[in-house]
Amino acid sequence: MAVQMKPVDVALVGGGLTAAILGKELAEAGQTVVALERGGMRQTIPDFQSPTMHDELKFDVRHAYAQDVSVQTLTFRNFVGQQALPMRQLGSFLPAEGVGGGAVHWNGQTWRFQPEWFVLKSWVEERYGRGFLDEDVSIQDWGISYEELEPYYTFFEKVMGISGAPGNINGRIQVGGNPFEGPRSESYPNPPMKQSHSGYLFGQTAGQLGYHPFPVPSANVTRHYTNPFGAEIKPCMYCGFCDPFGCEHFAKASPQVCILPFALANKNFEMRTHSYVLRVEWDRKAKVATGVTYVDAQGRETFQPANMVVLCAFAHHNPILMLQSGIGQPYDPVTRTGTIGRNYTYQTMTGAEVFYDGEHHINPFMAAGALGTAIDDFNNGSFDHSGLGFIGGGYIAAYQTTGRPIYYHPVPEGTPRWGLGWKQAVRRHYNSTVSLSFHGSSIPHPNNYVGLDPTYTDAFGQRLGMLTYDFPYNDRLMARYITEKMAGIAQAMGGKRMSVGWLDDHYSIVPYQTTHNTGGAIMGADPKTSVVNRYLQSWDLHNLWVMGSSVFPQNAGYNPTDTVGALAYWAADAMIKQYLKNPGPLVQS
Amino acid sequence: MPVQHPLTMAIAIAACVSAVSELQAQNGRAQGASAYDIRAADVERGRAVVVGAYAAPPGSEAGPGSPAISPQAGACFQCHGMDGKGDKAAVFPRLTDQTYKYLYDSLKDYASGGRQSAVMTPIAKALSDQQMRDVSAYYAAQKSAEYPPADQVDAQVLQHGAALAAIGNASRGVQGCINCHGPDGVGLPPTYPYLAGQYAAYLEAQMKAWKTGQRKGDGFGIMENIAKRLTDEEIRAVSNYYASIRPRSVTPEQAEFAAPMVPLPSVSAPSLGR
Repeated sequence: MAVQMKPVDVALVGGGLTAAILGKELAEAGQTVVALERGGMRQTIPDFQSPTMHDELKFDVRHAYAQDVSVQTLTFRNFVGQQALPMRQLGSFLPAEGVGGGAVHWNGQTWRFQPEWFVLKSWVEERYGRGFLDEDVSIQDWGISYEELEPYYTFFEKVMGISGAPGNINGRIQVGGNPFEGPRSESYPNPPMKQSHSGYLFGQTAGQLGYHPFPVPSANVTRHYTNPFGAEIKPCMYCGFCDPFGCEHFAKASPQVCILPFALANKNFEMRTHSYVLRVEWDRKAKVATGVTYVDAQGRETFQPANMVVLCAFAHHNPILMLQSGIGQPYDPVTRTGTIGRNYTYQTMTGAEVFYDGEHHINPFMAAGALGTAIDDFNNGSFDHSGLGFIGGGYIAAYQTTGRPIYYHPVPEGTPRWGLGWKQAVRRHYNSTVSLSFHGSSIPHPNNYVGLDPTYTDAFGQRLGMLTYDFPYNDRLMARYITEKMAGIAQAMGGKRMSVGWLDDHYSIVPYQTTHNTGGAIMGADPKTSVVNRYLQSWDLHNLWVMGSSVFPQNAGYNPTDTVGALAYWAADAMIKQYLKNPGPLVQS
Repeated sequence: MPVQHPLTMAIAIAACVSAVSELQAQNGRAQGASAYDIRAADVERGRAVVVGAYAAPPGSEAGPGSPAISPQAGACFQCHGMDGKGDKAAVFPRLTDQTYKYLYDSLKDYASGGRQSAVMTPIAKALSDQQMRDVSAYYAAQKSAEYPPADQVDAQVLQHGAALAAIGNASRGVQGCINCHGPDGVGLPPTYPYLAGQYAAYLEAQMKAWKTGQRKGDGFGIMENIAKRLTDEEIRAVSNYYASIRPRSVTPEQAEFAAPMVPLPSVSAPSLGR
């Protein structure tokens, strides 16, 4: 018999960035809100203070801030028809655990998506014609436009104190910014970061080649700044311990620094830690969610009744919770019907390194998570895809995120993997190597989806989520085309030698690539091809909402956080201004 | 619904390149790679500055309104000592083994008025850039000087200071000193000075100078912000705490004990059951 809690107005599943955003806004709108976080509480002081925080072994190698896979993990396979196996160690991506979620230990790279991404399908058809893409490229429109989202981007960037150089203010191209970005209504709240020497070398060469370098927009804040709520963020010290660490300086925007203090101070809000949500309970007749069942800190199954449930968990965790709760129609890759788990996408990453063999002092330890110089000339809306056979793109950047001793030791191809030869190579190249990365988009494919595993279960006896994913042909073509461009820049940078990491194999769950998992509970205009409507409200249960990158119909060639934050404020606005006044579907199906 | 990016290519290219260069230049004092290259300094010339035997007396370079300083009066050793020990009672800081960059920045800040001191401002103004480099290199090269005994301070005050040093003050939004100044206040060269063994009265005076705006110039206003958030009591506690710490050192005597492993004498195997 489950423990029964006192009913609340809103139950938030998760205690990360979107839960902090909704928790604060809904509590201030008079709703009683409880956030159910599977991990524990943590704060800048004392938890993120050095030298404890600068423990690479604990946080980077052993993933102290990531999900505990001995409790719950995913199974993985590349293709439908293969036997999926459980991920017993984290690798390719690191879902977070603990209050503040991934926005505690992120790098802070805060990009807006280009306007084209939100209307991708219609944009491609209009620009390149209906037959341009293979029918397996199941791209969709989001049901929302960049113009609608723009004020929410701006607000989120103010909350987080984002530091950058604007490239397009109300249609006017700005010197020093990204000329390919969508029009923004105003500048960033803070000036860009001081650029690193690696970024300088990249920017010089890229500029000479006719590209348009600019500083990466950053949540590593560049000066003392007070956000619209009154939170004080301090300037970044460029210590090089952003991801996967908490910031000791109050300088990296996080829920703890920017949002949570105001939610926690509100008597309507409760952050309930060590609460592992198992499923959403719902009324089959009335078609409404009635609350959530979770396992509390004492291991007791507990029911939290709520008038409204919002899924604020990690990207694939949201659709998995829906599958475990029996909500909606699960996606079937064979018949290609159903919506829950559909359009799971990732990110297509490649890299290149330029070795100067002592010619430049890069000082990689003077670093920050979003310290980088980038070009956006190869993002989706920036160039012509005619005759290329693919859609999508991404940005190329010289990031200087860290020079940490365990993590960072660039060596040329052919270097021994250990021993004297390796040590000599590390010594030679540590301080004179520039790393470039390509941050590419990810296009949905009918093979790629989130489901439930037929075999394996978690510590609570529930079926594990199952991920089926491989890089679609479209994305491999795209990565090859842009990696060639990146290699051209690397070549022109004039190092003694270089190496290029091509995307030339199947997707592997083992080496870390990026935590940008997206899709599975996607937004859209049609209930047949999407899980939530344009306000992130479930088509099936009107009082169930889904936040986060789960709702992206496809992933853009950018980091997702800015869009996740903007969508959360967009949804909060719809909840408060429309839904709470008259609960029901905000879009008729 | 394609969104056009109105690109005037040639202009945009030129503009972006120059913008990135500007970003390099905006980097405060660190405008060129050579600005902090210690190879541009000379310890022996620095020694001459320290003892007041200048090739060109600094007083002769004093600007209008600044009184000329005689070489002897401006000699660093009179207050800071030849070994950089300073003078605890007179609140002259310890400079021994302090980082070159920090010392050089300090002199430039005194000269520019970013840091105000009735004693140091005229002296720094009288020094040429080369003399500032040389004297900074000299004191950075001094590796040891004795530590006078720390003041007797209430253990609770030290405890309070130690807590501030380690984790700061959550309610005031002050991060721990240790994040930049290193464990046990050893500093983080080249930017962050050591605090261990620095004199309490000097540290307290500097924190108050940050607090009142008499000292500026760390590039981010970070110390100014921290000092303004701290109470005078907290400033006193953390100053006394750092003054009480001595840097860890391995003395030659201790090192001798690190003798090679001597094999244990062999013993006969004990019989089972005994």
